[in-house]
Amino acid sequence: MSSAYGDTYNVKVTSGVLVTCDSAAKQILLHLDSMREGPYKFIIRDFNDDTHVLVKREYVEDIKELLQNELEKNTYIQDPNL
Amino acid sequence: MSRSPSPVSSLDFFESDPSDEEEYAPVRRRVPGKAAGGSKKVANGGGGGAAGGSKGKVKINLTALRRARDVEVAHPADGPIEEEDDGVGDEDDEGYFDGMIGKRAIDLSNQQLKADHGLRPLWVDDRGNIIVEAFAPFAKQAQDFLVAIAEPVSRPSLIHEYRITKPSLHSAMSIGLETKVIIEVLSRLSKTPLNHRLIARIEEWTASFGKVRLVLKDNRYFLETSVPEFLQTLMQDEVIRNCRVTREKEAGPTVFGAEQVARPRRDYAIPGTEEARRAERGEAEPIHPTRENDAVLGAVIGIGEADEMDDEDEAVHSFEVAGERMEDVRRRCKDIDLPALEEYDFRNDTVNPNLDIQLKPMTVIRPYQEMSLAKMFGNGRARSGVIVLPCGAGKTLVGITAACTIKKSALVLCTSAVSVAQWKQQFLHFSNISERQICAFTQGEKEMFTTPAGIVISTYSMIAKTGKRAHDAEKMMQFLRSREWGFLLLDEVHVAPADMFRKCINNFKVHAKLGLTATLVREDDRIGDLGYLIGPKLYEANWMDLAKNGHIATVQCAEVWCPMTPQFYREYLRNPSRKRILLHAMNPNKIQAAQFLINYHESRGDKVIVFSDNVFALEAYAKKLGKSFIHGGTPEGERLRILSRFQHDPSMNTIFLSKVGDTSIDLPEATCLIQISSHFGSRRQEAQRLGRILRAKRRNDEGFNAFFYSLVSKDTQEMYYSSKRQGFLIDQGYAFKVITELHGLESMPNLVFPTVAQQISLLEEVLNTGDAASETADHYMRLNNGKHMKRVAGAQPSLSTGAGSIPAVQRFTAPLEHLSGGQNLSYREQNKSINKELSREERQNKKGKSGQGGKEQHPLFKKRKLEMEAVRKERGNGA
Repeated sequence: MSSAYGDTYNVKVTSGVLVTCDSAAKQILLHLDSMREGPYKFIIRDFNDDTHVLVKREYVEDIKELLQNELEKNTYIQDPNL
Repeated sequence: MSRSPSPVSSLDFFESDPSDEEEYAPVRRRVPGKAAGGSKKVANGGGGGAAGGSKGKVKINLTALRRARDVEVAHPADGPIEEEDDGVGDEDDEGYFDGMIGKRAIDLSNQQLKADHGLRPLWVDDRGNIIVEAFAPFAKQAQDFLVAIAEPVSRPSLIHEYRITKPSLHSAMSIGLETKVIIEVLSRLSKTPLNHRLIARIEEWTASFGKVRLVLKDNRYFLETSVPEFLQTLMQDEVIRNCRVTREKEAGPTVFGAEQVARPRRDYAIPGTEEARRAERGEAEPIHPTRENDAVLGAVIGIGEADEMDDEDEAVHSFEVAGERMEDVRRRCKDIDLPALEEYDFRNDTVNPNLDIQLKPMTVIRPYQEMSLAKMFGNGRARSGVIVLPCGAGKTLVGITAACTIKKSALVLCTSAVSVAQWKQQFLHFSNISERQICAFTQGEKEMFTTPAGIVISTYSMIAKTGKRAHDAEKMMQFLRSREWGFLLLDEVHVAPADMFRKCINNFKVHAKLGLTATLVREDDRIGDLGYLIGPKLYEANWMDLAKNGHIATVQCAEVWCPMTPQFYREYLRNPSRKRILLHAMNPNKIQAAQFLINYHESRGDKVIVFSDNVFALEAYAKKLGKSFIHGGTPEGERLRILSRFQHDPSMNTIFLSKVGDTSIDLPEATCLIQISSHFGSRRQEAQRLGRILRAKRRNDEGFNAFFYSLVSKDTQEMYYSSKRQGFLIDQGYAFKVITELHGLESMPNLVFPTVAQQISLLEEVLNTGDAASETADHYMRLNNGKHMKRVAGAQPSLSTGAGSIPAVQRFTAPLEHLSGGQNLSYREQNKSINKELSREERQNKKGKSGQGGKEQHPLFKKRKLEMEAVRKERGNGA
């Protein structure tokens, strides 16, 4: 929201979603975020604990997918040919 | 270790069950993949009935079945179940001998069941895959039969899988089973009528068996056949023609012509068995041993009874092939469907001198050992092949008995100098061979026997060494190459397909070859090469049966999931994969879990071995937890001292071992095993390590269990590798429990790294170590430098480096005092290694003994003396 008189207070509004996850998932999120460039970053705020992080709403679906992919990498599937 | 549910984590359906504190709340493990539905239902629902017979078609999923045996017992599964395996539980097809047919999925849904199918235990498909219901009434007999004609694939408690392959049929033929009988018994045991395609296959495969033989005569190899057409085929084949050797001068009847050969009967006894003992006592054989109770099958299963392959004495045509191209010849023969049979008629071999070797009378071999040897000497000749027995089940004795049966010069190859010494000692222990007939060929020892026949024990790396050798070693090699050997014994034969070792096998003139191993798997696809390097798999023991009979220990396997701490996980994500190994090995939660398990088992009176591939982690753990350790850099003397203390000292119950302990170190005292870091997805290593506790001394105690824990850092690559590693053991029937939380860990006194600050300083230390530390390879194990390098792991530049050799360049970040050695000094003082203390104690003990009479020395002089000694020692090391 910017006023008609210019951006004196530099106020911006972004809607966010609070993600509660285990500490590993949070670290993955932070890592994914750190690899992204300015506007594509999705983390609004990193809380000072191990399990919470505030992300931009529009990225929620993306994030789910990315996280899933990341976790799949560590799953052993016995024989993909069958 | 707070865990809150993660929204998308694929792992969140593992709930630990806090009610069951005794067993650390194990949750049955889910095999990743399609099995999710089935196994989950079973694990949660108890009697919920994954195997209910109400629906017309029930999906049976082997993995789920195997885990739900308790459920299964309640449901006698002789109802109308149709197998519709959807492929779960299938393993990669590579890693087995070729000659097999297709994949392991079986679809018989369109087949008609026989009326009394409930009594019949087998499902047989058209490609030779067989599934046995191990709980069915005739399962025991069926398995005896299947072991003879097929290869076991997977043998958990209730459902077994076998596969008919060409080599397996050939070994069936050579113990005297005939095509007709095989097909008949198979169809009698099968729930559905046999597919005609399978019958045709079996007939086709068995037809060419035994018609072509590869024999060694007077140091030359000949291909023999009694069928002239086959001879034509062989001669016209391009590859084989190229390998042919023509010697014009002596082109007599033996080189290319006909001779009379009589088929031998099995008219001798394998030493050490009941049969042999009876024969010695001069008693008459009981007319029919035991099998008469099962009239249906008795006639066919009795191994070694129906041994008459009614060949008349025939004219044999033969031609010579070049010895150094044996591998090609064998491979080619197999490719053109005329597999050359390699049998050694050792009893009629008059050219090679006999070796007077016999088992000592007190040596008794166990039933399964006898069984395996019966397959090797099935028809009175020695057949080449591989025998698979679990670690600790007496492979050595099988090898020795085989040598005693053949009674010719033998060459034994094993993996390390330690096992050379062990083999030699075992030979002397079990057989009556004299010390001068047996000799070792290692870096230290190079002797030859002087008697006409004898036994040489060596290592693969000694034999395969290329380049210049010492004079005496070269002489020894010439001696080995020039001789004709009756018997080549290859210990731990799964290493043999490696390129350098192939030479060992092809270089020698050998009549019969026997490979011994516990784990016939390799992560590359070379294991199939053993088929023509050595021979088919002759026998594979059932681990679960051996455990049941007390020959090996019963083991509880568990995988402990340790969550990564956030700090470590952050670095894990950011670092390249080389560094990651170190990060997930050094995860503080893992160290805590290791500490907890060690404490728990020590308090139960267990002896614990902790394995770590990563030498840096090994030292760090051992120092932190105050235990002693052995890795490649540990000097021989120190090693022996630590091992003997571990065996005899009740106050020292835990040792840390690196890869050097995977094989060959024999510690029957150990009853619990914890694995911290491992070599990627190596199934072999997992099984070899398990083998360390299979021979536990206490295994026959009532209700005794050995424990095998694998500590895995959650959400890392280790999870992937861990599942892969377990593949082999799961096929042998072991079930891995998953432990997600160790109860009572947080309240444990003296927990290491309790605060975040300490964990962070550990992280710093880990990140600051050089690259070399993240290597899993232990330098000692590298075969090309058999001498072990005295190497200090990681970036702990010890005081003794710098002099003499120049260490490899390492790059690491460190504070300034590191350069002056200041940091290092303080580190050493705080965290003394138990190893050092042990040796100090020993030294003091010795001194106490020797200097009893003398006057008490002043502490100042004592100190000076010690210092002087230290300096002298260091000089010695430096030089």
